[in-house]
Amino acid sequence: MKPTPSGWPRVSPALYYQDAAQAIDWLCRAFGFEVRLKVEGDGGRIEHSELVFGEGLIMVGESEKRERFPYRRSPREVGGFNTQNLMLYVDDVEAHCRRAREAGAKIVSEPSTDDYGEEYWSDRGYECEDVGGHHWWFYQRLRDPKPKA
Amino acid sequence: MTDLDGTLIALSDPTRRGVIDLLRRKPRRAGELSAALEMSPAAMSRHLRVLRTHGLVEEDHAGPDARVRIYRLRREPFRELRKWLDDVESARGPRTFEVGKVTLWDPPRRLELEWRGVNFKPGEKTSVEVTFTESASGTLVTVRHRGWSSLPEDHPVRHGLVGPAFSRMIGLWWGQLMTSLREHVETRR
Repeated sequence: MKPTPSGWPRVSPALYYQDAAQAIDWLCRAFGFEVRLKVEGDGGRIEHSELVFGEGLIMVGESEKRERFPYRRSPREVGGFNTQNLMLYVDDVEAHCRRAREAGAKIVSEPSTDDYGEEYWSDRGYECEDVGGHHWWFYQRLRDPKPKA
Repeated sequence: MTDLDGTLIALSDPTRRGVIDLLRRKPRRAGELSAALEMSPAAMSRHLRVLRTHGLVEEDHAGPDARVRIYRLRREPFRELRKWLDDVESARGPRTFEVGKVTLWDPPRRLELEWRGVNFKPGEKTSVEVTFTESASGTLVTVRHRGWSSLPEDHPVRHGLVGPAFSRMIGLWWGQLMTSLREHVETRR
């Protein structure tokens, strides 16, 4: 496989919101994303955006009812159904959950630990719903699998 | 073969370029040229024939002794060559274009400048405001490009796009520019 262009992870999801500008602010406040690039057009409409979290990258755009891409909707507009979850590793999942909750994220499942035993790994994580109805898993790695002898 | 082909063929030899350099100052006899360039009259005669065939020099018989041939430069081939070089340079090479004046520079926070495209008419201009603010991981650079409504709807800079579609195009153009600047800064860190 050839390397990706600089600054682009292999997979970069694009998420749609009814108010992309507001969603960008919210994602930075609630989850700790940082805006790498934000292109605003007329009336502050988000024409393109790139948000980073560590080496992760997402793009946030406007859901488009009238325009060329009628299939670009936020879960909020389609009865809350999701066809995907986003999963991210963070350093401190408790602090992350607190921050998200304070910003108004709906915690779908509180932080809990999955321990698969000595031979496997142990993660602690939670699931929440963001301002547009997208679902996210945030995990912290507690223990890596024991190295094979 | 065009005249330019002939000019370049004639110039593709150091001796012949030496002849051009000598004739630049004043017309000279063939004997003078062969002596100055330390070569036989026969060899010089062959070179002069090439230069003459392609029109870079001309013979002048108007001296007191009609048997003595005086050679002088012809200007036309060099004018044509110059024009061709200018075309090459203006299409691809470095050239200067004034985007506009810097109207405010208040380091390290704020920069304001006029912005004109290459296809702007005299008097037409837009304005760009750049602010730099501290952010958690570096500097947030905000670019605001204003004044588009002062340009007519059919202005060539719009590439046929109006309203939000044009804003989107110019916004994405700035986005590309800012991305390459960010990458440039990151490689210098």
